[in-house]
Amino acid sequence: MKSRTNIMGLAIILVTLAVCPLTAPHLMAADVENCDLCHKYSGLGRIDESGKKHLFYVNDSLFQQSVHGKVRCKECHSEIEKYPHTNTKKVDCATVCHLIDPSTGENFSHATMIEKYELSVHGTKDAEGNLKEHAEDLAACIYCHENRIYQPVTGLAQKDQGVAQEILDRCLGCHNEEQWARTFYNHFTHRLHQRRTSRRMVELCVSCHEDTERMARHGLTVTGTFHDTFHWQGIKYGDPNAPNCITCHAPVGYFSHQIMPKNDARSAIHRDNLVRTCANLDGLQTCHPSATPSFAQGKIHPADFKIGVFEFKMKGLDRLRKITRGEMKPFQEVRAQQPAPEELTPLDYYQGLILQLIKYFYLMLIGGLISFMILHQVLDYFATRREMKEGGMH
Amino acid sequence: MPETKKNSISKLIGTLFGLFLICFILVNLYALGTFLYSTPSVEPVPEKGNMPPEKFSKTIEEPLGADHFHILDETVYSDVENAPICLACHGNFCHVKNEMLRSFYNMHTFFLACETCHLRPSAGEKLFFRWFDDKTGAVVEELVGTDGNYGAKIVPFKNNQRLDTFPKEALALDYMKFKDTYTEDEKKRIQGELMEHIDQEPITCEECHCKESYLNYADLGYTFVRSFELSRIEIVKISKEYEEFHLPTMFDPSVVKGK
Repeated sequence: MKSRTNIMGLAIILVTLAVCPLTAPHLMAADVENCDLCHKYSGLGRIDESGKKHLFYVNDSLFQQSVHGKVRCKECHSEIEKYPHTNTKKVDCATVCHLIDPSTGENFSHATMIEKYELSVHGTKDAEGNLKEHAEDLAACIYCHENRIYQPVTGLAQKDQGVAQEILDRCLGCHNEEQWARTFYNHFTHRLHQRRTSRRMVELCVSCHEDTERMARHGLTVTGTFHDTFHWQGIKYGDPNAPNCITCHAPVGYFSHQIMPKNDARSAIHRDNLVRTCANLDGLQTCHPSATPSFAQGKIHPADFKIGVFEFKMKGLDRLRKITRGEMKPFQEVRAQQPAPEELTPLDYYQGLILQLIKYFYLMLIGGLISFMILHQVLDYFATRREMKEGGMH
Repeated sequence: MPETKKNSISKLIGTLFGLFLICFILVNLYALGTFLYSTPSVEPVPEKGNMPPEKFSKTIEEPLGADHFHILDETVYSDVENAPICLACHGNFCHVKNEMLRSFYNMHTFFLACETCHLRPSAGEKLFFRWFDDKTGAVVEELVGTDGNYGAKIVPFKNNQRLDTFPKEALALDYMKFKDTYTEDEKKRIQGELMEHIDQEPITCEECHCKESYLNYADLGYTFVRSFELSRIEIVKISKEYEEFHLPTMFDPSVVKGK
């Protein structure tokens, strides 16, 4: 009887091993370590000593559908060997994982991408490989990237979301493993999408580039005035073709992870490359095909006086808050808030004066035109009534 | 209809229409004036001082390269509705001391009333437990949701009275408002007074997650399988028996492959 039990036990183990995911790594669920046991709770988290909140929640079913859905937790969180997970380091995206890169047949890693990024203006190291000053200000991988859920498309023309079975069937004609084919389909078509909308892209970039203190540490001026430009107006009103930061800083032929300083000849916005960047002739859409060198010299991030105007607007918002809170009366100290003329160069002063005059001219013109139009319509209405009365038409 | 009456009706309609037109024009002129000449209608950015402090809420900012790589759904944005006064002061992530279990304790704040653990019945006393809706306060008979996100909490009650009411709420609110003005001794005294009804020895993990559980999972509506799971949570045993628990590697494919 005992030997029968042993045989049964052995059989169960053998059957278990036979169907165990280890025998088919591509079928393997991401969570073989059962991290989900704890991490499925959305409230799992804590406040650290510095007051920062850490959330450790992962929605496993959504994670499986994400771009990293086939990567086991421990392949990124390789430091975690024990519980509690103390002294863990941040995930190194250059880690080699079990996934095979179909283009090379080798194990996949983001190392190549990171190497390129490190050489860019956003990289933490200088040309000699030394850590840059204020490197902590520079965006690491997960500042810009979150783990996206696959958004496959059914067709190239409309890019409707979903999986086109007839296309997947074509893949399966040669590739026998459906899950692999599906993942590959998802991955490929997901990348046809622009990762984020132009608005979100601008929001992402300006989340650093509007930070005055941070920019000052790197000798840069804030780009907040992008919001005053025609390009931003296009984005704001939902023009799908309106350019965002990447459109100009990493157009076709450049790479978003290799953005260079503007005085570097490899930069898309280096003065020698600007005409080509503005024209964007190789892109899915051309922007300014007839761009000339003088056109390309225009300031996209208005500086100097316009920064003063932007700051003035911000002060205006601050005043608005104070007025709302009853700390300031409307129009109080308005004159004191004006930019000091002595801070401006004569050129900036006159440039600003002209801008103001143009602004007021158009405000008067639009207001006057519409008011006169309405007045004309009203008078016309009464005149018509009078004529009808006099003409005896009732 | 006599001609004069017809004329007066026409006049009335004409006058009303004229008045309507004038009003319409005035409204349009006002809108135009506002649009052209007033301060831009930009929503003032909330000042940091007015934002809810980080510890008080599970709410996180919308991911914007937000350092929340794994946030894939909206669950993390949900918060405890009608949070009790305890959470208003301590926040949902109030457990900080126990390195082994603090995150687990915090996770429970979303579906257990503080008093469920921090109120120990005296000898011979019997407390009952039920789910109460966070929003309405009504008894919840059937749970909707998963993994602790039910919009409801397990609350102790006795004699049809919920026991998660804070006895000195006014003092607590006062304390939160003026605590910066108190001396350390005053703070200690008031804190002591506020916590008088709270037991020094809370219900422990193993008292709930065991066969003879402090909470009756079946009565609380858990399925047989889930009740069974809850009565033998591995992490409780680990925390009890190990200082450090090294995760087994026998199912780690890379290790197996390496071997």
